[in-house]
Amino acid sequence: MYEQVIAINIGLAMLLAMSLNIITGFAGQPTLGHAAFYGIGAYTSALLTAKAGWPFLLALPMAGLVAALVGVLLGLFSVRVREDFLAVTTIGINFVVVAVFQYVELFGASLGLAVPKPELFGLRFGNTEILILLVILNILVYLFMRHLPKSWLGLALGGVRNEEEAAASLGVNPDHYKVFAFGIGTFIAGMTGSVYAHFMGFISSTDFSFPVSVGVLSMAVLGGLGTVSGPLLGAIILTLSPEVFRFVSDYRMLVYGGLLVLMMRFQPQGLVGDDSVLRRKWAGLCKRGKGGERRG
Amino acid sequence: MLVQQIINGIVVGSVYALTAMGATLVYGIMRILDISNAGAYAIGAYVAFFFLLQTGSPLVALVTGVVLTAAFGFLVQKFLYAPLMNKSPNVSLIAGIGLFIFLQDFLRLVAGPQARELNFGTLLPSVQFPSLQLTLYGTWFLILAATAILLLILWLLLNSSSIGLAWRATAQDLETAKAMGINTNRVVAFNFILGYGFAAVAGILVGILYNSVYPTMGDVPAYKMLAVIVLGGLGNPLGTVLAALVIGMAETLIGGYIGFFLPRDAIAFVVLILILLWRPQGLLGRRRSS
Amino acid sequence: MADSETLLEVRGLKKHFGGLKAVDGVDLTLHRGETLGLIGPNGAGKTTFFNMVCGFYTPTEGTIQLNGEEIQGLPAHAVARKGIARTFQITKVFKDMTVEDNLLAAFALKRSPSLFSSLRRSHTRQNLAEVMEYLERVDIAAFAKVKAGDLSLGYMRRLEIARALALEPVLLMLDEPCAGLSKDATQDFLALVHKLRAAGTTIMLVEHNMAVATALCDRMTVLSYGVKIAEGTPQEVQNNQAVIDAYLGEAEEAD
Repeated sequence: MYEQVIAINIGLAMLLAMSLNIITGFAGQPTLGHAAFYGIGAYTSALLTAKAGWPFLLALPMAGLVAALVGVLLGLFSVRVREDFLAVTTIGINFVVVAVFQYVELFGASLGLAVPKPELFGLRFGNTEILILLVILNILVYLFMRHLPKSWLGLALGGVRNEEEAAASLGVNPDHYKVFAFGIGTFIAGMTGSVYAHFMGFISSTDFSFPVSVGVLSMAVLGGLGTVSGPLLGAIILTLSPEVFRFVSDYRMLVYGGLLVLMMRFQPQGLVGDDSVLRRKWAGLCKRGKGGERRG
Repeated sequence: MLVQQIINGIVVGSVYALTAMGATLVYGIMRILDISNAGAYAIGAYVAFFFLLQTGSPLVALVTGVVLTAAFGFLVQKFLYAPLMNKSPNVSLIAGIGLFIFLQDFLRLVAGPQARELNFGTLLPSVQFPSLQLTLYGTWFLILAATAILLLILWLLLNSSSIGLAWRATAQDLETAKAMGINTNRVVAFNFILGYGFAAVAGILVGILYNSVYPTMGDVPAYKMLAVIVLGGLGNPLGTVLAALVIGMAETLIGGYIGFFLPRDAIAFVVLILILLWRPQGLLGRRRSS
Repeated sequence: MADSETLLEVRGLKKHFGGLKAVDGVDLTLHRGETLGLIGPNGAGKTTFFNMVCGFYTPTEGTIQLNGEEIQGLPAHAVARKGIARTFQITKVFKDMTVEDNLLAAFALKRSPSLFSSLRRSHTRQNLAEVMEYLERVDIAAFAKVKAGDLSLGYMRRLEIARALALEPVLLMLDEPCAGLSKDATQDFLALVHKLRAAGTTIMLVEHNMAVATALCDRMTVLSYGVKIAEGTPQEVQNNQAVIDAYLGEAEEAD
């Protein structure tokens, strides 16, 4: 069913956008290569199920763990380098990871990798089952995102994001928390990759290239980095728009680029960010006073 | 054979140095990574192509390519980047990415997706040394000469002129420079124009070198040049040249000798990551205070 | 062997940046409950010394003992856990978070000791009530839900102090707390510090302004060009010839 496929794409996009938001929106660490971890999760899950005969339900968390392992390494690297360097390095990781998938035989090289459909107690996973799984995962991650600003972790990340030295003076070890944020964000991305791989039935390196990372970042930014519901909104809008604007399909990239420029120029806090146009209109409607979304 | 590869590496490195110089200059003053610089690269090449077609004169093509692109840079700085100076650096970063995507697709829609030839004729002849198995291509002379001249002009500009002094003061500390009466707005604008100008020159030279101009030609420079300028220590022109040569050599030598299993583009980033692991501040950057 | 009255014992502390000797062998003793001022002209090394005690710089040489335990070279977050709280010369409040959240973050040290415990809920009614108590102590309770970045400088300074107090430190370190404040704000601030002193808080204060330092401190240590040139009560120090020369020298340079 066509609508199911769209819903699945939205579900995947929301998970990716939320996971990126943890790293960039909450911990304040730029990550421009998030698709690399999406890919690591996808390939891990594909290989475990196709070549090692693992059941899908074990491959799924394992994909997350492997992606998180690399993510933690990236986090450890991030604490040594300056922020600007980090942004470029994450781009580099994306390129290197994609190149490895493209050229190394184990990953099917340029031919890509076929992925078996998952099975649970003999039931073969069709799109409906994948969609249910995605709904569950999205709910879990969303609940985590809602809890984050009201947790010590959210506060610590807020300190690191705003003023690292002041956070340290409060006993927060900025390095630990940055690595933790990378670990959690990449874990979710990796699991999402696993779902993607089994949904598509076939993956290749170009599915996880740098433009995909830019796309995920754009979703979080469009909705509002650091907000709880912003990335969801951004994911929905950017996944649906190619469908909605079919008539501009040839101008897609033009519109997309232009949209990024206009958003950053005029509404960098995102659609539901602090003091955004939408928020003000909403506050006007409610007449309960303005407010930005709680971060942490 | 090795000599051939080494010189090849230097030529490639020179092109990278020119390509990355624009973004380095911009970072030195504005402290932002300008990815739209790669869009200027492609625009410069296309404008040159257009004027070459119209006038048949390589000189006119070159000059208009650079001047018009630089003028466009003035507009970009004024209307996009200037208002974003006091926001988080992520904002300008994403704006730059958006602009780059927009410009690339704009070129595709206006000029068509196919590659065009940028033939400036055989400006300089190739030289052969059959006994040494060495061939020095004419275009190589052009690239090396152009790079040397442009970098020399830049060096003189930065170190021996009043503009250069204002530039260096603003790069050190914008607020202090302003307080000392330097017109920092003008410095910032000039700096950005120079950045786009360099990108245009680089794009034109590459178009000549490979005799090919196409809308996505900015893709590889966009990402690879980031590796170059970060490696060089961000905002340090000398560091950029050094890093460009290192990466140019690494790509040519490794690609040429080891049947390498990673594509050329990934090599730049591998080099970057390895060197940052050893020296987190880049080749010529300064350490953060402990 | 430190006696129970001595809280902080610094011996032979040095910090050299390449050829620059910012701090070149300073001894200092801080007693429990006293307010000590670290003063001196610009470039004397006060802030460098301060940062070494707080763990933001690693000393080139020398020891720093807190309650008899050596803490030199520990990173800033570890020093905070030993019981030293600090404010910053250029206020570093968490600008995109509310005043309430800024203060709540300080509770993390005691209530969320590990990464995994950090997943627990922080915004409990109990915690929020305690937050309000601290905010009331410095008179900014009305701004609890305001974004810290929207506060005026004077209130930001108070927030920083409240945040430091919320750590329940054994030693409170203030870095030029009155810099940039208006006369009125300075007066308010002095009143606040007096309250803290009366409550028995041990304070070390870096201050460039003699008048403020004299009003607040029990004792003063004067630095100049990285070494200690005088120590004693404010009266003693003000009448010390070496101190006068040092400050006069600065005034002359400024001409």
